[in-house]
Amino acid sequence: MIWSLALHSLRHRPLRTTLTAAGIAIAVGSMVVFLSLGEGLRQAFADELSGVGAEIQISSGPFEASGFGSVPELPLSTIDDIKRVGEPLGVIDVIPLVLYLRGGFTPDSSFAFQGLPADIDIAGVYPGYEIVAGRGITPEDANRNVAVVGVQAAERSNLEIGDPLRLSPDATFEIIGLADATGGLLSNGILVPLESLQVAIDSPDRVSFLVVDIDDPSRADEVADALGEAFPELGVQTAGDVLAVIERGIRITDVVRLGISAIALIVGAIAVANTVLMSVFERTREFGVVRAVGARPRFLFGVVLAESVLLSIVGGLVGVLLGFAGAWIVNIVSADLIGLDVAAITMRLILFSLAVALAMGLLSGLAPSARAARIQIAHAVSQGN
Amino acid sequence: MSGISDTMSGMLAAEAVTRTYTTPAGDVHALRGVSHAFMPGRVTAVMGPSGSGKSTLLNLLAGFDRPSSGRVVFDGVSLGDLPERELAGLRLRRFGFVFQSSNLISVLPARKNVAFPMGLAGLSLRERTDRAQALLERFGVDHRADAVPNRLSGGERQRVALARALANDPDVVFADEPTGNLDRSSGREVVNALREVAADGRTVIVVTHDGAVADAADVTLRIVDGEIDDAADASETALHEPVAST
Ligand SMILES: Nc1ncnc2c1ncn2[C@@H]1O[C@H](COP(=O)(O)OP(=O)(O)OP(=O)(O)O)[C@@H](O)[C@H]1O
Ligand SMILES: [Mg+2]
Repeated sequence: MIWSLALHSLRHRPLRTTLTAAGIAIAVGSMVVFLSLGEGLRQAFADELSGVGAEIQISSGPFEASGFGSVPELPLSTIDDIKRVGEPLGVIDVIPLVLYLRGGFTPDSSFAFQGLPADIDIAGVYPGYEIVAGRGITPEDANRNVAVVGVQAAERSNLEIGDPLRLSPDATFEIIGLADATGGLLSNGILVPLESLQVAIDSPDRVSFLVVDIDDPSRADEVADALGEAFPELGVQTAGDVLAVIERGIRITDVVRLGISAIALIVGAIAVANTVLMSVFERTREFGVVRAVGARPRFLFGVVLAESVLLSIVGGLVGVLLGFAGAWIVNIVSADLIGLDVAAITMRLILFSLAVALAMGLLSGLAPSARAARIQIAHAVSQGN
Repeated sequence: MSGISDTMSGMLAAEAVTRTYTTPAGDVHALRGVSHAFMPGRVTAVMGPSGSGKSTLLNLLAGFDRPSSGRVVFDGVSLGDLPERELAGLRLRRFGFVFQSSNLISVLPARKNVAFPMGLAGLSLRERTDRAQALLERFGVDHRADAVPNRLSGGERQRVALARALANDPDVVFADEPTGNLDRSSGREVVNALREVAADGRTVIVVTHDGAVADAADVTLRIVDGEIDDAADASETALHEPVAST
């Protein structure tokens, strides 16, 4: 009875019902898009890091403080110290890595240079590493300015084999091949011999990170702890630590994005409450009649609450669809600009959004429902005679 | 329609009822002590000038409002002693209502309007539909069963309202100016319908300005200034014999 009367009432005023549901849909839709950015970033980072073979990486200080692209600070000599201490712990190899970001005004003129020793097996650092075109870096390239470009970086910046890549006014690298690997870290970057990158950025004997290879990956935490104790001045992180730091960063942006969404939702909820309240006032006489023929106050409470819940469920469902459309558009743009899908709509995001829509309906329906339940029959039926 | 065998079931009485409205402009004594017993099987017309307290009396009798003093007694129980929940049950199962106009639920078609109180009373969909159809037929509006109220004529609307008033086979039917918005012939139809309803053995109480309604009533109660006007006392009009209950 309650739901049937609520449905009839909503259908009786199709325009008002549609507009109100559209308001909710837009509020929920924008929330879905905002939150999908965080989900997308999480997925992207998880993918990228799963593409890194190293279980442990070492930087010159705490990971959070060592910004990407700052000057490499780790002395090369550290490698031997770590090898010596790490051998009994199961450390197989320690690979130095120099990271240098050449910023540009647009994403397609920004490059992430990664210097790795010319004589190592890249697949050990980037599982699934393969040369797609041209050739890879060989030990003979150690002091040459050659570069292997990730396929996504190449596509984005329109690079081809033989093209020069300017790192600084004094250093230009020649592209000798295109490569791909699992995850996007390599595919979005540029691989050059460690030694030539050190010379090019005038930072010999210093590296950004040390990538530690161990024989038993499941003992990564244990080994990392031992190394951290032996070298308190260094930052030692497992892949899990890195993810945790990134997760924390995304959480912070979650709060910001939730805040923005909350504003849209509150505005939407107030609009719904206002519309439903107005429709209660308009129906005072009619509700009086409903009470006169024997309905209890809680029946009217239920009818009005059911109306706003129905509105918000429909609005919420449409909002999720709008969110899909919005995230799709965001991804078209972001894939074009930075080669990443930054928005992702996950099941938990869908469920969360529907729950928020339902809560919005319940909350905004409360005041109008209470108003409807308080209607005095004698007063109501004498109206508009 | 099941007949009502117990004649005294459905007797409604006002006992020294007063109602004073408190307003910013001062107290309004709408009723100043009204006593009257409304009998089953009869149509009682409540007449009187505008503002004399007719609607106020009806509201008290129907339990919409509580008297400032005095009692309204239905089947031996004082309505003032009942909690709102039980009053709602009384209105649902023992009372029926027809108001001046637009007293149907505007979003529901005629049949669903009639079936509405049955739904509240817990009847199954089948029973509701069958009973509603029968009631619409009884008042000659079954051909309009699927029309929403604002597609109905004023007379049709009041007949649908009457059908709804009988939905749960009540003992008392209240009507406040049921012919107020109708032309003469539609008004006559509604009056005849009300007489039939009383013929079932129900107590029918009609507030009206309409002389034709009063003429058709078994009893006429005149209210002037919140009191029963003794000059035109609630004597039975000789025109109509009280309808014997079956
Ligand atoms: N809710 C209220 N608050 C204050 N005064 C009221 C209220 N309801 C009715 N009155 C006053 O009480 C008196 C009786 O009103 P009531 O509606 O019972 O008259 P009535 O006989 O039904 O008149 P009418 O024939 O015009 O319908 C009037 O003076 C009216 O102004
Ligand atoms: Mg009146």
